[in-house]
Amino acid sequence: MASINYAFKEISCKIVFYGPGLCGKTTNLQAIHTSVPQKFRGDLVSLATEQDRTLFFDFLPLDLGEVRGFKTKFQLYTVPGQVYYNATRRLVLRGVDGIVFVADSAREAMENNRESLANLRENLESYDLNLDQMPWVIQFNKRDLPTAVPREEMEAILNPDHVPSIEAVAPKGIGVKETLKSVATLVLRRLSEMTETAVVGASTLERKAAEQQVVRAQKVSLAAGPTEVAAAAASATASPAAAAKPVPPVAAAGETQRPGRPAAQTGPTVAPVRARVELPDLHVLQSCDMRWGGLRIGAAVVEVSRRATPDRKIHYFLNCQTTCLGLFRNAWNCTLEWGAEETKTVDSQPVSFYVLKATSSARKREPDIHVWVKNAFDKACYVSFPALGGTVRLTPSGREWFK
Amino acid sequence: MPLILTKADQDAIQGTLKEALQKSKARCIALVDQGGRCLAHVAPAKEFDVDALAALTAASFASTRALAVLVGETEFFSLLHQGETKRIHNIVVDNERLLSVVFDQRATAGKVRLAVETAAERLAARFREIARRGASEVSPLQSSLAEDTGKRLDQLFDS
Repeated sequence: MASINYAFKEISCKIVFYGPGLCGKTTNLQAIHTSVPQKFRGDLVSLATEQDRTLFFDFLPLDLGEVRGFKTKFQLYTVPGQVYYNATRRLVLRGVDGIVFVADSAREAMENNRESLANLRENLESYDLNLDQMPWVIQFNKRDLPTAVPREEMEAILNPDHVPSIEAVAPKGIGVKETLKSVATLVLRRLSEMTETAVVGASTLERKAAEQQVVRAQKVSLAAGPTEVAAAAASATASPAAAAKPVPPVAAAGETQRPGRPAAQTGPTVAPVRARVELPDLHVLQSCDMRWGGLRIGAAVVEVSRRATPDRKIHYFLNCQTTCLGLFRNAWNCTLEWGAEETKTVDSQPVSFYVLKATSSARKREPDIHVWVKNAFDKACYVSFPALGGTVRLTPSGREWFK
Repeated sequence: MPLILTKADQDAIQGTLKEALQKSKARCIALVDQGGRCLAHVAPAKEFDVDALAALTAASFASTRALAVLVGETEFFSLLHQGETKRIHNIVVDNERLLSVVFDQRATAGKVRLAVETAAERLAARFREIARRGASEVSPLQSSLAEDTGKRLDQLFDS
Protein backbone atom coordinates (compact mmCIF):
# COMPACT_ATOMS: atom_id res chain seq x y z
CA MET A 1 0.00 0.00 0.00
CA ALA A 2 1.47 3.32 -1.02
CA SER A 3 2.00 6.03 1.56
CA ILE A 4 1.62 9.77 1.16
CA ASN A 5 3.24 11.86 3.86
CA TYR A 6 1.92 15.40 3.59
CA ALA A 7 4.18 16.58 6.38
CA PHE A 8 7.41 15.56 4.71
CA LYS A 9 5.87 15.80 1.23
CA GLU A 10 6.82 12.23 0.40
CA ILE A 11 5.20 9.58 -1.70
CA SER A 12 6.36 6.02 -1.43
CA CYS A 13 5.30 3.13 -3.66
CA LYS A 14 6.25 -0.52 -3.97
CA ILE A 15 6.79 -2.18 -7.32
CA VAL A 16 7.41 -5.90 -7.67
CA PHE A 17 9.04 -7.57 -10.64
CA TYR A 18 7.41 -10.96 -11.06
CA GLY A 19 7.91 -13.81 -13.47
CA PRO A 20 9.19 -17.35 -13.91
CA GLY A 21 12.67 -18.44 -12.94
CA LEU A 22 15.56 -16.99 -14.93
CA CYS A 23 13.34 -14.62 -16.91
CA GLY A 24 15.38 -11.55 -16.06
CA LYS A 25 13.81 -9.96 -12.99
CA THR A 26 17.08 -9.55 -11.11
CA THR A 27 18.78 -8.43 -14.31
CA ASN A 28 16.24 -5.63 -14.60
CA LEU A 29 17.09 -4.37 -11.15
CA GLN A 30 20.80 -4.67 -11.84
CA ALA A 31 20.34 -2.64 -15.02
CA ILE A 32 18.43 0.04 -13.12
CA HIS A 33 21.09 0.05 -10.41
CA THR A 34 23.77 0.59 -13.04
CA SER A 35 21.90 3.27 -14.96
CA VAL A 36 20.58 5.49 -12.18
CA PRO A 37 23.08 7.82 -10.49
CA GLN A 38 23.93 6.86 -6.93
CA LYS A 39 22.38 10.02 -5.56
CA PHE A 40 18.95 8.79 -6.64
CA ARG A 41 19.12 5.19 -5.49
CA GLY A 42 20.24 3.03 -2.62
CA ASP A 43 22.24 -0.14 -2.68
CA LEU A 44 20.93 -3.23 -4.38
CA VAL A 45 20.18 -5.78 -1.69
CA SER A 46 20.12 -9.33 -3.01
CA LEU A 47 19.24 -12.37 -0.98
CA ALA A 48 20.44 -15.09 -3.27
CA THR A 49 21.96 -18.54 -3.35
CA GLU A 50 25.56 -19.24 -4.19
CA GLN A 51 24.46 -19.89 -7.74
CA ASP A 52 23.04 -16.38 -7.91
CA ARG A 53 19.47 -17.58 -7.95
CA THR A 54 17.21 -15.27 -5.97
CA LEU A 55 16.42 -16.92 -2.67
CA PHE A 56 14.15 -14.40 -1.04
CA PHE A 57 14.11 -11.14 -3.01
CA ASP A 58 16.18 -8.37 -4.48
CA PHE A 59 15.52 -4.88 -3.30
CA LEU A 60 16.47 -1.52 -4.77
CA PRO A 61 15.18 1.79 -3.41
CA LEU A 62 14.86 4.73 -5.79
CA ASP A 63 14.49 8.32 -4.66
CA LEU A 64 13.60 10.50 -7.63
CA GLY A 65 13.81 13.70 -5.64
CA GLU A 66 11.12 16.32 -5.77
CA VAL A 67 8.45 15.95 -8.41
CA ARG A 68 5.48 18.31 -8.31
CA GLY A 69 6.32 19.22 -4.75
CA PHE A 70 6.63 15.64 -3.49
CA LYS A 71 9.69 13.53 -2.87
CA THR A 72 8.85 10.48 -4.91
CA LYS A 73 10.28 7.16 -3.86
CA PHE A 74 9.93 3.70 -5.26
CA GLN A 75 10.88 0.42 -3.63
CA LEU A 76 11.67 -2.10 -6.34
CA TYR A 77 11.53 -5.78 -5.47
CA THR A 78 11.98 -9.00 -7.34
CA VAL A 79 10.68 -12.38 -6.28
CA PRO A 80 12.33 -15.78 -6.56
CA GLY A 81 11.04 -17.36 -9.72
CA GLN A 82 11.52 -21.04 -9.02
CA VAL A 83 8.31 -22.89 -8.46
CA TYR A 84 8.99 -24.08 -4.93
CA TYR A 85 9.48 -20.56 -3.56
CA ASN A 86 5.80 -19.71 -3.84
CA ALA A 87 5.38 -18.91 -0.14
CA THR A 88 8.20 -16.40 -0.41
CA ARG A 89 6.72 -14.81 -3.51
CA ARG A 90 3.50 -14.28 -1.64
CA LEU A 91 5.34 -12.55 1.21
CA VAL A 92 7.14 -10.18 -1.14
CA LEU A 93 3.85 -9.18 -2.79
CA ARG A 94 2.51 -7.76 0.43
CA GLY A 95 1.75 -4.06 0.10
CA VAL A 96 2.47 -4.01 -3.64
CA ASP A 97 1.34 -0.97 -5.62
CA GLY A 98 2.45 -1.92 -9.10
CA ILE A 99 3.70 -5.02 -10.86
CA VAL A 100 6.06 -5.70 -13.74
CA PHE A 101 5.53 -9.14 -15.15
CA VAL A 102 8.74 -10.19 -16.86
CA ALA A 103 8.08 -12.81 -19.51
CA ASP A 104 10.81 -14.92 -21.07
CA SER A 105 10.53 -14.73 -24.85
CA ALA A 106 12.06 -18.17 -25.44
CA ARG A 107 9.51 -20.54 -26.95
CA GLU A 108 10.38 -23.23 -24.45
CA ALA A 109 9.60 -20.82 -21.61
CA MET A 110 6.04 -19.99 -22.68
CA GLU A 111 4.45 -22.57 -20.43
CA ASN A 112 6.45 -21.23 -17.47
CA ASN A 113 5.28 -17.72 -18.34
CA ARG A 114 1.67 -18.83 -18.31
CA GLU A 115 2.04 -20.66 -15.03
CA SER A 116 3.82 -17.76 -13.41
CA LEU A 117 1.11 -15.33 -14.49
CA ALA A 118 -1.56 -17.62 -13.06
CA ASN A 119 0.50 -17.92 -9.90
CA LEU A 120 0.70 -14.13 -9.65
CA ARG A 121 -3.08 -13.85 -9.80
CA GLU A 122 -3.44 -16.53 -7.18
CA ASN A 123 -0.98 -14.89 -4.79
CA LEU A 124 -2.62 -11.50 -5.22
CA GLU A 125 -5.97 -13.06 -4.39
CA SER A 126 -4.57 -14.09 -1.04
CA TYR A 127 -4.39 -10.35 -0.29
CA ASP A 128 -7.83 -9.71 -1.81
CA LEU A 129 -6.20 -8.04 -4.78
CA ASN A 130 -7.14 -8.47 -8.42
CA LEU A 131 -4.43 -8.10 -11.03
CA ASP A 132 -6.91 -6.61 -13.48
CA GLN A 133 -7.66 -3.82 -11.03
CA MET A 134 -4.14 -2.71 -10.31
CA PRO A 135 -1.34 -1.03 -12.21
CA TRP A 136 0.74 -3.57 -14.04
CA VAL A 137 2.78 -3.87 -17.19
CA ILE A 138 4.31 -6.79 -19.01
CA GLN A 139 7.87 -6.92 -20.25
CA PHE A 140 8.79 -9.29 -23.05
CA ASN A 141 12.42 -9.92 -22.17
CA LYS A 142 15.12 -11.70 -24.11
CA ARG A 143 13.95 -10.36 -27.44
CA ASP A 144 17.41 -11.01 -28.83
CA LEU A 145 16.98 -14.77 -28.64
CA PRO A 146 16.85 -16.59 -31.98
CA THR A 147 13.96 -18.64 -30.59
CA ALA A 148 12.06 -15.61 -29.38
CA VAL A 149 8.34 -16.00 -29.84
CA PRO A 150 6.84 -13.28 -32.08
CA ARG A 151 5.47 -10.42 -30.06
CA GLU A 152 1.97 -10.78 -31.46
CA GLU A 153 1.86 -14.34 -30.24
CA MET A 154 3.12 -13.41 -26.79
CA GLU A 155 0.56 -10.61 -26.59
CA ALA A 156 -2.23 -12.98 -27.52
CA ILE A 157 -1.20 -15.56 -24.94
CA LEU A 158 -0.04 -13.43 -22.03
CA ASN A 159 -1.65 -10.05 -22.58
CA PRO A 160 -5.18 -10.45 -23.91
CA ASP A 161 -6.29 -7.34 -22.04
CA HIS A 162 -3.56 -5.21 -23.60
CA VAL A 163 -1.90 -3.78 -20.55
CA PRO A 164 1.19 -1.76 -21.52
CA SER A 165 3.86 -4.08 -22.89
CA ILE A 166 7.50 -3.40 -23.54
CA GLU A 167 10.11 -5.39 -25.41
CA ALA A 168 13.41 -5.69 -23.64
CA VAL A 169 16.87 -7.15 -23.61
CA ALA A 170 17.58 -6.59 -19.93
CA PRO A 171 21.29 -7.50 -19.84
CA LYS A 172 21.89 -4.71 -22.35
CA GLY A 173 19.50 -2.34 -20.56
CA ILE A 174 17.20 -2.22 -23.55
CA GLY A 175 13.61 -1.61 -22.55
CA VAL A 176 14.41 -1.43 -18.83
CA LYS A 177 13.87 2.29 -18.46
CA GLU A 178 10.69 2.15 -20.52
CA THR A 179 9.33 -0.63 -18.35
CA LEU A 180 10.02 1.19 -15.12
CA LYS A 181 8.64 4.44 -16.47
CA SER A 182 5.50 2.72 -17.68
CA VAL A 183 4.67 1.08 -14.37
CA ALA A 184 5.71 4.11 -12.31
CA THR A 185 3.39 6.43 -14.21
CA LEU A 186 0.54 3.95 -13.90
CA VAL A 187 1.05 3.67 -10.16
CA LEU A 188 1.19 7.41 -9.61
CA ARG A 189 -1.73 8.05 -11.88
CA ARG A 190 -3.71 5.57 -9.85
CA LEU A 191 -2.61 7.24 -6.64
CA SER A 192 -3.71 10.64 -7.93
CA GLU A 193 -7.11 9.26 -8.86
CA MET A 194 -7.55 7.60 -5.51
CA THR A 195 -6.77 10.77 -3.60
CA GLU A 196 -9.01 12.76 -5.89
CA THR A 197 -12.05 10.60 -5.29
CA ALA A 198 -11.43 10.37 -1.58
CA VAL A 199 -11.44 14.08 -0.91
CA VAL A 200 -14.80 15.71 -0.29
CA GLY A 201 -15.38 19.05 -1.89
CA ALA A 202 -16.11 19.92 -5.50
CA SER A 203 -14.07 23.09 -5.18
CA THR A 204 -10.98 20.95 -4.88
CA LEU A 205 -11.82 19.11 -8.07
CA GLU A 206 -12.52 22.29 -9.96
CA ARG A 207 -9.23 23.74 -8.87
CA LYS A 208 -7.51 20.57 -9.94
CA ALA A 209 -9.24 20.59 -13.32
CA ALA A 210 -7.96 24.09 -13.92
CA GLU A 211 -4.43 22.95 -13.10
CA GLN A 212 -4.45 19.95 -15.41
CA GLN A 213 -2.29 19.98 -18.49
CA VAL A 214 -2.54 17.77 -21.46
CA VAL A 215 0.35 15.36 -21.64
CA ARG A 216 1.79 15.53 -25.08
CA ALA A 217 2.62 12.23 -26.63
CA GLN A 218 6.19 11.96 -27.78
CA LYS A 219 5.05 10.54 -31.06
CA VAL A 220 2.19 12.90 -31.80
CA SER A 221 3.13 16.25 -33.22
CA LEU A 222 0.88 18.98 -32.06
CA ALA A 223 -1.09 20.63 -34.82
CA ALA A 224 -2.26 24.20 -34.41
CA GLY A 225 -5.71 23.17 -35.56
CA PRO A 226 -7.51 20.52 -37.52
CA THR A 227 -5.55 19.30 -40.49
CA GLU A 228 -6.45 17.28 -43.51
CA VAL A 229 -6.72 13.67 -42.66
CA ALA A 230 -4.84 11.22 -44.82
CA ALA A 231 -5.84 13.03 -47.99
CA ALA A 232 -3.41 11.02 -50.05
CA ALA A 233 -4.63 7.82 -48.46
CA ALA A 234 -8.18 8.79 -49.31
CA SER A 235 -7.30 9.23 -52.92
CA ALA A 236 -5.48 5.94 -52.98
CA THR A 237 -8.07 3.78 -51.28
CA ALA A 238 -11.40 5.60 -51.13
CA SER A 239 -10.42 6.19 -47.55
CA PRO A 240 -11.63 8.55 -44.91
CA ALA A 241 -12.94 11.94 -45.81
CA ALA A 242 -10.73 14.91 -45.24
CA ALA A 243 -10.05 15.89 -41.70
CA ALA A 244 -11.68 12.94 -40.11
CA LYS A 245 -10.85 13.17 -36.48
CA PRO A 246 -10.76 10.13 -34.40
CA VAL A 247 -10.89 10.87 -30.81
CA PRO A 248 -9.19 8.46 -28.63
CA PRO A 249 -10.78 8.35 -25.31
CA VAL A 250 -8.76 9.84 -22.63
CA ALA A 251 -8.54 7.53 -19.76
CA ALA A 252 -6.36 8.44 -16.88
CA ALA A 253 -8.73 7.75 -14.09
CA GLY A 254 -8.74 4.19 -12.91
CA GLU A 255 -12.34 3.29 -12.76
CA THR A 256 -12.10 -0.06 -11.10
CA GLN A 257 -11.17 -0.04 -7.48
CA ARG A 258 -9.11 -2.55 -5.57
CA PRO A 259 -11.02 -4.90 -3.43
CA GLY A 260 -10.98 -3.63 0.09
CA ARG A 261 -8.00 -4.31 2.30
CA PRO A 262 -8.39 -5.59 5.83
CA ALA A 263 -10.53 -3.30 7.91
CA ALA A 264 -7.72 -1.77 9.91
CA GLN A 265 -6.66 0.19 6.85
CA THR A 266 -9.98 1.56 5.61
CA GLY A 267 -11.57 4.63 7.06
CA PRO A 268 -15.17 5.70 6.77
CA THR A 269 -16.51 5.69 3.23
CA VAL A 270 -16.37 9.16 1.71
CA ALA A 271 -18.73 10.22 -1.04
CA PRO A 272 -16.73 10.71 -4.25
CA VAL A 273 -16.15 14.29 -5.42
CA ARG A 274 -17.65 13.35 -8.80
CA ALA A 275 -21.09 13.78 -7.31
CA ARG A 276 -20.94 17.33 -8.71
CA VAL A 277 -18.55 16.98 -11.62
CA GLU A 278 -19.20 13.64 -13.29
CA LEU A 279 -16.76 13.73 -16.18
CA PRO A 280 -14.06 11.13 -15.63
CA ASP A 281 -10.46 12.16 -15.74
CA LEU A 282 -9.37 10.21 -18.79
CA HIS A 283 -5.97 10.02 -20.34
CA VAL A 284 -5.11 7.46 -22.97
CA LEU A 285 -2.05 7.17 -25.14
CA GLN A 286 -2.38 4.20 -27.44
CA SER A 287 -1.02 2.59 -30.59
CA CYS A 288 -3.84 1.62 -32.92
CA ASP A 289 -4.57 -0.32 -36.05
CA MET A 290 -6.28 1.69 -38.74
CA ARG A 291 -9.05 -0.33 -40.38
CA TRP A 292 -11.31 0.25 -43.30
CA GLY A 293 -13.90 -2.28 -44.39
CA GLY A 294 -12.42 -4.75 -41.96
CA LEU A 295 -8.98 -4.48 -43.53
CA ARG A 296 -6.00 -3.10 -41.76
CA ILE A 297 -4.80 -0.19 -43.86
CA GLY A 298 -2.40 1.48 -41.49
CA ALA A 299 -1.50 2.45 -37.98
CA ALA A 300 -2.15 5.35 -35.68
CA VAL A 301 -1.10 6.80 -32.37
CA VAL A 302 -3.89 8.50 -30.51
CA GLU A 303 -4.06 10.43 -27.33
CA VAL A 304 -7.15 11.54 -25.49
CA SER A 305 -6.93 13.79 -22.48
CA ARG A 306 -9.19 15.87 -20.35
CA ARG A 307 -8.80 19.61 -20.25
CA ALA A 308 -10.29 22.50 -18.36
CA THR A 309 -10.79 25.74 -20.19
CA PRO A 310 -10.07 29.07 -18.49
CA ASP A 311 -13.77 29.37 -17.69
CA ARG A 312 -13.49 26.00 -15.92
CA LYS A 313 -15.54 24.05 -18.43
CA ILE A 314 -14.22 20.58 -18.91
CA HIS A 315 -13.94 18.85 -22.20
CA TYR A 316 -11.72 16.30 -23.87
CA PHE A 317 -9.05 16.70 -26.45
CA LEU A 318 -7.93 14.30 -29.11
CA ASN A 319 -4.55 14.14 -30.78
CA CYS A 320 -4.09 11.67 -33.55
CA GLN A 321 -1.30 10.74 -35.90
CA THR A 322 -2.05 8.27 -38.67
CA THR A 323 0.09 6.45 -41.15
CA CYS A 324 -1.86 4.92 -44.01
CA LEU A 325 -0.39 2.14 -46.11
CA GLY A 326 2.94 2.92 -44.56
CA LEU A 327 3.25 5.99 -46.75
CA PHE A 328 0.77 8.71 -45.96
CA ARG A 329 1.18 10.41 -42.64
CA ASN A 330 -1.07 12.92 -41.05
CA ALA A 331 -1.71 14.46 -37.69
CA TRP A 332 -4.77 16.25 -36.42
CA ASN A 333 -6.52 17.19 -33.23
CA CYS A 334 -10.06 17.80 -32.14
CA THR A 335 -12.13 18.81 -29.16
CA LEU A 336 -14.53 16.24 -27.78
CA GLU A 337 -17.47 16.35 -25.49
CA TRP A 338 -18.95 13.79 -23.20
CA GLY A 339 -21.53 11.52 -24.77
CA ALA A 340 -22.72 8.63 -22.66
CA GLU A 341 -21.81 5.25 -21.24
CA GLU A 342 -22.48 2.22 -23.39
CA THR A 343 -21.96 -1.51 -23.15
CA LYS A 344 -20.36 -3.32 -26.07
CA THR A 345 -19.27 -6.89 -26.63
CA VAL A 346 -15.54 -7.48 -26.74
CA ASP A 347 -14.28 -11.06 -27.04
CA SER A 348 -17.78 -12.29 -26.24
CA GLN A 349 -17.78 -10.34 -22.97
CA PRO A 350 -19.86 -7.25 -22.21
CA VAL A 351 -17.61 -4.29 -21.59
CA SER A 352 -18.62 -0.85 -20.43
CA PHE A 353 -17.38 2.12 -22.44
CA TYR A 354 -17.34 5.88 -22.09
CA VAL A 355 -18.41 7.52 -25.33
CA LEU A 356 -17.01 10.84 -26.48
CA LYS A 357 -17.86 12.72 -29.66
CA ALA A 358 -16.62 15.75 -31.51
CA THR A 359 -18.08 18.95 -30.13
CA SER A 360 -20.76 20.75 -32.10
CA SER A 361 -18.32 23.46 -33.11
CA ALA A 362 -15.84 20.86 -34.25
CA ARG A 363 -18.55 19.01 -36.12
CA LYS A 364 -19.21 22.07 -38.27
CA ARG A 365 -15.77 21.64 -39.72
CA GLU A 366 -15.12 17.96 -39.28
CA PRO A 367 -16.97 14.75 -39.91
CA ASP A 368 -18.74 13.05 -37.08
CA ILE A 369 -16.15 11.41 -34.88
CA HIS A 370 -16.81 9.05 -32.03
CA VAL A 371 -14.51 7.60 -29.43
CA TRP A 372 -15.14 4.74 -27.06
CA VAL A 373 -12.94 4.38 -23.98
CA LYS A 374 -13.06 1.16 -22.06
CA ASN A 375 -14.34 1.74 -18.54
CA ALA A 376 -11.71 -0.35 -16.80
CA PHE A 377 -8.23 0.09 -15.52
CA ASP A 378 -6.95 -0.75 -18.99
CA LYS A 379 -8.36 2.22 -20.94
CA ALA A 380 -8.41 0.66 -24.39
CA CYS A 381 -9.93 3.03 -26.88
CA TYR A 382 -11.73 2.66 -30.18
CA VAL A 383 -12.32 5.47 -32.63
CA SER A 384 -14.49 5.80 -35.69
CA PHE A 385 -14.93 8.49 -38.29
CA PRO A 386 -16.70 8.52 -41.65
CA ALA A 387 -14.65 8.46 -44.82
CA LEU A 388 -15.12 8.13 -48.53
CA GLY A 389 -16.63 4.75 -49.19
CA GLY A 390 -17.14 3.82 -45.58
CA THR A 391 -16.01 4.27 -42.04
CA VAL A 392 -12.45 4.27 -40.78
CA ARG A 393 -11.92 2.68 -37.41
CA LEU A 394 -9.00 2.77 -35.05
CA THR A 395 -8.70 -0.18 -32.69
CA PRO A 396 -6.08 -1.15 -30.12
CA SER A 397 -3.19 -2.82 -31.92
CA GLY A 398 -4.00 -6.41 -32.74
CA ARG A 399 -7.66 -6.18 -31.82
CA GLU A 400 -10.82 -6.21 -33.86
CA TRP A 401 -13.69 -3.78 -33.63
CA PHE A 402 -16.19 -4.54 -30.91
CA LYS A 403 -19.75 -5.68 -31.54
CA MET B 1 -6.50 3.64 -0.35
CA PRO B 2 -2.94 4.74 0.34
CA LEU B 3 -1.81 5.49 3.85
CA ILE B 4 -2.04 9.25 4.28
CA LEU B 5 -0.09 10.97 7.00
CA THR B 6 -0.67 14.60 7.90
CA LYS B 7 1.73 16.90 9.69
CA ALA B 8 0.02 16.20 12.96
CA ASP B 9 0.41 12.45 12.40
CA GLN B 10 4.05 12.82 11.48
CA ASP B 11 4.78 15.00 14.50
CA ALA B 12 3.10 12.52 16.81
CA ILE B 13 4.93 9.56 15.28
CA GLN B 14 8.31 11.27 15.34
CA GLY B 15 7.72 12.38 18.91
CA THR B 16 6.92 8.84 19.99
CA LEU B 17 9.98 7.44 18.25
CA LYS B 18 12.30 10.10 19.70
CA GLU B 19 11.02 9.44 23.18
CA ALA B 20 11.51 5.69 22.74
CA LEU B 21 15.02 6.25 21.41
CA GLN B 22 15.97 8.41 24.36
CA LYS B 23 14.51 6.03 26.94
CA SER B 24 16.06 2.96 25.38
CA LYS B 25 19.40 4.56 24.48
CA ALA B 26 19.16 2.79 21.13
CA ARG B 27 21.08 3.77 18.00
CA CYS B 28 18.19 3.73 15.59
CA ILE B 29 14.47 3.17 15.71
CA ALA B 30 12.33 2.76 12.62
CA LEU B 31 8.63 2.38 11.98
CA VAL B 32 8.27 -0.06 9.12
CA ASP B 33 5.23 -1.28 7.26
CA GLN B 34 4.95 -4.95 6.54
CA GLY B 35 5.39 -4.32 2.85
CA GLY B 36 8.94 -3.17 3.59
CA ARG B 37 8.54 0.62 3.58
CA CYS B 38 10.12 2.84 6.20
CA LEU B 39 7.37 5.17 7.39
CA ALA B 40 9.43 7.10 9.93
CA HIS B 41 12.75 6.74 11.68
CA VAL B 42 15.03 8.39 14.18
CA ALA B 43 18.72 7.67 13.82
CA PRO B 44 20.99 10.37 15.15
CA ALA B 45 24.15 8.85 13.78
CA LYS B 46 22.68 8.11 10.34
CA GLU B 47 24.85 5.02 10.15
CA PHE B 48 22.34 2.58 8.68
CA ASP B 49 20.72 2.29 5.29
CA VAL B 50 17.21 2.72 6.60
CA ASP B 51 15.53 1.62 3.37
CA ALA B 52 17.38 -1.68 3.40
CA LEU B 53 16.74 -2.05 7.12
CA ALA B 54 13.01 -1.62 6.52
CA ALA B 55 12.88 -4.07 3.63
CA LEU B 56 14.88 -6.73 5.43
CA THR B 57 13.02 -6.26 8.69
CA ALA B 58 9.70 -6.76 6.99
CA ALA B 59 11.00 -9.80 5.15
CA SER B 60 12.46 -11.24 8.30
CA PHE B 61 9.22 -10.74 10.14
CA ALA B 62 7.21 -12.23 7.32
CA SER B 63 9.31 -15.35 7.21
CA THR B 64 9.21 -15.81 10.98
CA ARG B 65 5.45 -15.40 10.88
CA ALA B 66 5.39 -18.33 8.51
CA LEU B 67 7.54 -20.24 10.97
CA ALA B 68 5.15 -19.35 13.77
CA VAL B 69 2.24 -20.77 11.84
CA LEU B 70 4.28 -23.91 11.28
CA VAL B 71 4.55 -24.47 15.02
CA GLY B 72 0.96 -23.57 15.77
CA GLU B 73 1.25 -19.90 16.69
CA THR B 74 -0.46 -17.05 14.85
CA GLU B 75 2.78 -15.08 14.87
CA PHE B 76 5.77 -14.19 16.98
CA PHE B 77 5.10 -10.70 18.35
CA SER B 78 8.69 -9.79 18.93
CA LEU B 79 12.04 -10.86 17.58
CA LEU B 80 15.51 -10.29 18.89
CA HIS B 81 18.57 -10.64 16.68
CA GLN B 82 21.74 -10.77 18.69
CA GLY B 83 25.18 -10.02 17.27
CA GLU B 84 28.57 -9.47 18.75
CA THR B 85 28.15 -5.77 19.47
CA LYS B 86 24.76 -4.88 18.06
CA ARG B 87 21.27 -6.22 18.45
CA ILE B 88 17.99 -5.64 16.69
CA HIS B 89 14.65 -5.87 18.40
CA ASN B 90 11.51 -5.99 16.24
CA ILE B 91 8.01 -5.71 17.60
CA VAL B 92 4.56 -5.72 16.05
CA VAL B 93 2.67 -2.42 16.18
CA ASP B 94 -0.48 -3.52 14.40
CA ASN B 95 -1.59 -5.60 11.40
CA GLU B 96 0.44 -3.50 9.01
CA ARG B 97 3.40 -2.08 10.94
CA LEU B 98 6.46 -3.00 12.96
CA LEU B 99 8.99 -1.20 15.07
CA SER B 100 12.61 -2.04 14.55
CA VAL B 101 15.21 -0.94 17.09
CA VAL B 102 18.96 -1.22 16.62
CA PHE B 103 20.97 -0.98 19.83
CA ASP B 104 24.34 -1.89 21.29
CA GLN B 105 25.90 -2.54 24.70
CA ARG B 106 24.90 0.89 25.96
CA ALA B 107 21.31 -0.31 26.15
CA THR B 108 19.86 -3.34 27.87
CA ALA B 109 17.39 -5.59 26.14
CA GLY B 110 14.87 -5.16 28.96
CA LYS B 111 14.92 -1.36 28.82
CA VAL B 112 14.63 -1.45 25.04
CA ARG B 113 11.70 -3.83 25.21
CA LEU B 114 9.90 -1.67 27.75
CA ALA B 115 10.41 1.57 25.82
CA VAL B 116 9.43 -0.01 22.53
CA GLU B 117 6.28 -1.67 23.84
CA THR B 118 5.05 1.65 25.16
CA ALA B 119 5.83 3.30 21.86
CA ALA B 120 4.11 0.51 19.94
CA GLU B 121 0.88 0.98 21.89
CA ARG B 122 0.86 4.71 21.24
CA LEU B 123 1.60 4.23 17.57
CA ALA B 124 -1.13 1.62 17.24
CA ALA B 125 -3.63 4.08 18.73
CA ARG B 126 -2.45 6.75 16.33
CA PHE B 127 -2.93 4.52 13.31
CA ARG B 128 -6.38 3.51 14.48
CA GLU B 129 -7.21 7.20 14.52
CA ILE B 130 -5.73 7.62 11.02
CA ALA B 131 -7.83 4.73 9.72
CA ARG B 132 -10.99 6.21 11.21
CA ARG B 133 -10.27 9.62 9.73
CA GLY B 134 -9.61 8.36 6.21
CA ALA B 135 -8.52 10.95 3.64
CA SER B 136 -10.88 13.75 4.53
CA GLU B 137 -8.28 16.34 5.45
CA VAL B 138 -5.92 16.24 2.54
CA SER B 139 -5.87 17.64 -0.95
CA PRO B 140 -5.49 15.36 -3.96
CA LEU B 141 -2.24 14.88 -5.81
CA GLN B 142 -1.82 16.69 -9.07
CA SER B 143 -2.64 14.50 -12.03
CA SER B 144 0.52 15.60 -13.80
CA LEU B 145 2.63 13.97 -11.10
CA ALA B 146 2.69 10.70 -13.02
CA GLU B 147 3.85 12.24 -16.27
CA ASP B 148 6.46 14.42 -14.57
CA THR B 149 7.79 11.37 -12.77
CA GLY B 150 8.17 9.69 -16.14
CA LYS B 151 10.19 12.66 -17.35
CA ARG B 152 12.35 12.53 -14.24
CA LEU B 153 13.07 8.86 -14.89
CA ASP B 154 14.10 9.77 -18.43
CA GLN B 155 16.53 12.32 -17.03
CA LEU B 156 18.01 9.88 -14.53
CA PHE B 157 18.57 7.16 -17.06
CA ASP B 158 19.98 9.52 -19.64
CA SER B 159 22.35 11.28 -17.24
